[in-house]
Amino acid sequence: MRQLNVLVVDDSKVNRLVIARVISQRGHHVIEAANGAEALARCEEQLPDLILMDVIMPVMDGLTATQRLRERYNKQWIPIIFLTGKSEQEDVLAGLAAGGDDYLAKPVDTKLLTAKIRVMARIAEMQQRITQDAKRLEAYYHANQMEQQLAEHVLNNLYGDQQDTGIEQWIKPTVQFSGDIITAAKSPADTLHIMLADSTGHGLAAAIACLPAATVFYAMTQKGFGIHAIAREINKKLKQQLPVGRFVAATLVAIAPQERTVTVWNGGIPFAGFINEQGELSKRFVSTHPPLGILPNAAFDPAVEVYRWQQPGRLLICSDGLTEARSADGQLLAIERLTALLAAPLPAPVIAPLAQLVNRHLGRNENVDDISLVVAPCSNDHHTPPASPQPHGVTQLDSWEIRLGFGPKELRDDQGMPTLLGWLNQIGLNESQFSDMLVVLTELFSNALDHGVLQLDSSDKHSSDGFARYLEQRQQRLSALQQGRIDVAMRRDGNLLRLSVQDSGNGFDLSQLPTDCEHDAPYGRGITLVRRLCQQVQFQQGGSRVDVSYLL
Amino acid sequence: MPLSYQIRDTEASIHIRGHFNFSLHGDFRAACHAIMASPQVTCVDIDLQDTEYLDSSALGMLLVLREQLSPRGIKLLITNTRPGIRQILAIARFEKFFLID
Repeated sequence: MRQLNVLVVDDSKVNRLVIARVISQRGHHVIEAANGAEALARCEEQLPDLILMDVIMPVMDGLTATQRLRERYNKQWIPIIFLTGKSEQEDVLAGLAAGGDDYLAKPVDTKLLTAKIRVMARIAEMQQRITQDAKRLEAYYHANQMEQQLAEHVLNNLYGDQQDTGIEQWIKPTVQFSGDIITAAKSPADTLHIMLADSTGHGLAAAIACLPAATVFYAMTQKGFGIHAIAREINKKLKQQLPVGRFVAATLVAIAPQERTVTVWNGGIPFAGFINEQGELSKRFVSTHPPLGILPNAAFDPAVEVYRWQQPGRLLICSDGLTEARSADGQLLAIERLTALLAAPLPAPVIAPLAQLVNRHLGRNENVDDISLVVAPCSNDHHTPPASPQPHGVTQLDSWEIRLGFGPKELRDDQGMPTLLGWLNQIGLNESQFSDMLVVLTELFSNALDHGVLQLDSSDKHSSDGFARYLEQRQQRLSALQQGRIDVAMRRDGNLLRLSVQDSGNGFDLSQLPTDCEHDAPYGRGITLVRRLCQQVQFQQGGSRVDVSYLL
Repeated sequence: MPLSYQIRDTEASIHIRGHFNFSLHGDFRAACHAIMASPQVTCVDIDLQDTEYLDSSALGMLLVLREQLSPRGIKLLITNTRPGIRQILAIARFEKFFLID
């Protein structure tokens, strides 16, 4: 036992001497006071570890002194033992009521005093440790509060701005921060990108793991990359930055209202589906990949699933916090009950009843995992928003020429568009020029790949079944591709941007080319769009080469 | 004990009872260390017969185990999965990383 400072308060000098001797013999240090007022003064100089207090004393009695001490030193606890003349119950009670912790009858019994000192020392030590812990905990709490405020600020700024995307979302975190995030942004070609990501665990650590995913998502969407390329990049970042065992399950979606297609890359999210206005599930996108951040990038599979809607509806995605949420009696929430609530004509909002259903299902049960869901309308009457006036004065490279060739390996590995996009992003086009060129380049490149190199017949595309068959065939032929190439040349010529795309295919019957097809035709829209955007469109070499010029 | 493990000759098994989540982190790591310290082991069986539920932190722990053991060419099995658990493993496509019965 460590050495204690013991304050002995008694108006009788003899008593003080006797007690002091016992205490010193046990190895402790003694301070003396002849009355309550003196005791207070000694405490001012140095707080003792233990006080032995007589009750009846001149100037200030022991009860008053104890009360004063308790008032003055309310942050810490000093054990006070009363020395009572006779062990009368009233005295004992009065002492304890004044703030004493124990009592000893006079004349003091040496053995009892020693034992009580030991007990008090033990309690005092414990008390001290608790006080220290409490202080540390308080400091930790404050530091944590500040960190949380900072994090909240950063996260809000990152995810807060999702206006004009038309999506509805609801997140119910288990703790302050959700490990689930929902991001949405429009690409320059007016395709809506959405990501629902659910990282391992909850709280700040999980939210942090989502940060790289969100920043990559926004940056690459803005630059016009497709969701498969975005998913690949996020996977690479997370694999580099997160420790093994931490990962992010995610569904990335691209909704193209012009094409009426939903493209989905799903890695580990339990539910993503297209629900029509009757509340029926038209298409479910199952998880076909492991979550992001697990596979090395060489093994990453960017394969996406594409669905073309005939009837308008809504895309619904939800995290496992919802599909595994249990009610008070342990029941899961059937997904049909959610989809039934989506039986409403567009653009009616639906998120409130969904949230209500989930909350009612949970009842008084706390959700054990972050719950998130997102609903995106997929409408048939799409209108391209009028181009906003562009600020001038963007520095543009004014004289350049670039030629890029892609062989079977590059085409198989999907390096064509990302490479071209990289260039397109660097030549200083303004927003609307970039958006136009992205559409033109995407259309021409995919035509060259699909119909030129892969020899796919687009007349098959107009039925829903045919479209699925078309995509399947495309996937098969692309992954087996052994020969063929696409050459792209781009040149700045005064205020014209000249682009030529040539493929190794057989070309096509130019007389079959749609002149100006009506909006509802399921194919041929691409070329019409290119014609509308470009000043000049010319097919060469039997259709295997196309030259266009775009007025900057 | 919610988690127990056995090492017999070339085969190790980990048995998990009840909820497989972060609360088993310490026990699971101890089991990994013990298996790592036994060079004769060539096959690890993660027996989920009595596992009622498994969350993403459990998936994380399984991936850590794989990261540690796969350089030694150890075969990793997940066996006796209940339907709910098999579904969670399927959504995360864990058949790419483990042999799931």
